[in-house]
Amino acid sequence: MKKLLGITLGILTAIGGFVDIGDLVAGSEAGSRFGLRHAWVLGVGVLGICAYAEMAGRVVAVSGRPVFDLVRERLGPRVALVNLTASYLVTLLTIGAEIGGVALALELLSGTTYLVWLPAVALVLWLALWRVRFETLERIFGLGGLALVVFAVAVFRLHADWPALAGQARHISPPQGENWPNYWFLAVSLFASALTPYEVFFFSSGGVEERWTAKDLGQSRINVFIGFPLGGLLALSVLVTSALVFYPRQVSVDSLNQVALPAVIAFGKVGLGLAILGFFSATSAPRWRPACRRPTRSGSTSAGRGASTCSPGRPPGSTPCCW
Amino acid sequence: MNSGLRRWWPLPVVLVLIWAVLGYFLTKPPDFHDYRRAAVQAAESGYNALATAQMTVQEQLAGKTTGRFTDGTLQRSSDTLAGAWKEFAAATPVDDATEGIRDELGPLLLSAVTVLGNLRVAEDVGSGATARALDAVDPVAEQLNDFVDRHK
Repeated sequence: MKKLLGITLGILTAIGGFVDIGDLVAGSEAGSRFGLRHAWVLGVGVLGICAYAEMAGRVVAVSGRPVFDLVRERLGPRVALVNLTASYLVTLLTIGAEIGGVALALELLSGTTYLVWLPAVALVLWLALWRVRFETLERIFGLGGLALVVFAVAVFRLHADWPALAGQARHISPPQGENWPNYWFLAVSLFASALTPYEVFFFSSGGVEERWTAKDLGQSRINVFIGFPLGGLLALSVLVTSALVFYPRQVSVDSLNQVALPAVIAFGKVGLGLAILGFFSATSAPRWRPACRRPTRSGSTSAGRGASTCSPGRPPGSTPCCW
Repeated sequence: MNSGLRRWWPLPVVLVLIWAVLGYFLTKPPDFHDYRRAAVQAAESGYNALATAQMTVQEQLAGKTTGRFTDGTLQRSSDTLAGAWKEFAAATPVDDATEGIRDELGPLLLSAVTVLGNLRVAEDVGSGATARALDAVDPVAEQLNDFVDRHK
C-alpha cells in the first residue's frame, strides 16, 4: 500500500511538475497565433524528455553515478566544461524566468505590480530551499501544479470544435498571415520548454541523493512513462484553450493575465483561482533545485537540510556536480 | 605562432564577419518595408491590448472575475498600447506611401488610447458606465484589425 502510494505520488508530482513558465508562455502564444499547428512539437518534446530522463535514471540506478560523471569520463574535461557551462547558463535563465513567473502569479492575485514582489519572492523561495526538505517542496509544488488540470477541463467547457482542432493539428505549416520563421521560432520554444535541463537534473541528482539501485528502476520508469506524458497533456491543454479562445479572435498572447483568461471564461472566479495556484506552483521552488546545489569541500554537493552526499566515494576535488 | 593557435585563425575572421553583417542591418536606412513592418507591429499590439481588455471586462461584467484581475489586465493592456505607440512614433516615414500609413494608423492608435483610458475610468465608476465604455472599444479594435489585415 505504501509503495502504491509512493508510485501514485511520484506520478502526480511528475504530472504537476512537468508544466513550467516556458510551457505556459510558449504554449499559449503558439495556440493564439497558430492554433494547434504546433501540437506535434509537444509530442516530440515529451518523447525526448521521456527518453532522456529514463536514461539518466537508469545510469544512476545501475552505476550510482550522475550522467555528468559519464560525460566527463567518456568525452573528456573540455567537452564536459562546455556541457557544464551551457547547462548552468540555461539554468540561470530558467531561474530568472521562474522568479518572474512567481511574481507575476502574485500580481494576478494581488493586483500589485510584479516588480514589488520580485525581491520578496527571491528571499522567501531562497529560505524555503534552504530550510525545507526538497522532497517536501517537490510534493507540495508538484501537487499544486495539478491545479492546472483546470485548463484540461476547460477544453470541454469551452465547447471545442473537435474536427476544426484536428484539422489545425494536421497542418504542419503557418496559417495565412504568419510566416515560417515565426512558426519555427515558436516550435523551438515549445520543444525547449518540454525538454528543459532541470527535469533531467531532477532524475539524475535525485537518484544519486536517494541512492537508487536497479530495484528502483521500475518506479523511475513508471514516473517517467506515465507522469511526463500526462504532464505533456496538461501543457497541450494550455495550448488548446489558447487556440479556442484567442486564435479565432486573432489575439496574440504575451502576458500571464491572458494565459489565465480561458480558465476564467470557462469557470469564472474558481477557474481564475485554480489557474493562479497552478501558475504559482509551476514556477516555484522545485525548479530552482539544480541551480541551488552548492559544492562542499569534499567535492560532493549539498542541497539543503536532509540532502545526502553526492556520489559517495568520489575523490576530493572531482567535479562538484550531481547530474 | 604555434600550430595550436594557428588552427584557430578562422574564429576571429568569422566573428568580424558576423559583426559586419549585423552592423550593416542595424545601421542601414529604413525603407518602405521596414516602416510598414513597424506600423503593422504597432497596430497588432494595439489590437491585442484592446481585445484582451474587452474580453476581460466582459467577464467582469458577467461576474466571472475579480476586480484585481481586471485592473491588472487593463494596466498591462495600457502598457502594451503605450509600447505600441512609442514604437510607431519612433519610426520615420520614408516616402508618400509610408506617410499615408502614418496618417491612417496615428489617429487609430490615439483612439485606442482614448477608449482604453475611458474603460479604465468607467470600471471604477460602475457597471453601467463600464458597459457603455466597452461598446466604444469594439469599433476601434475592428479598425486596427482591419489595418493589420490590409498591410500585413
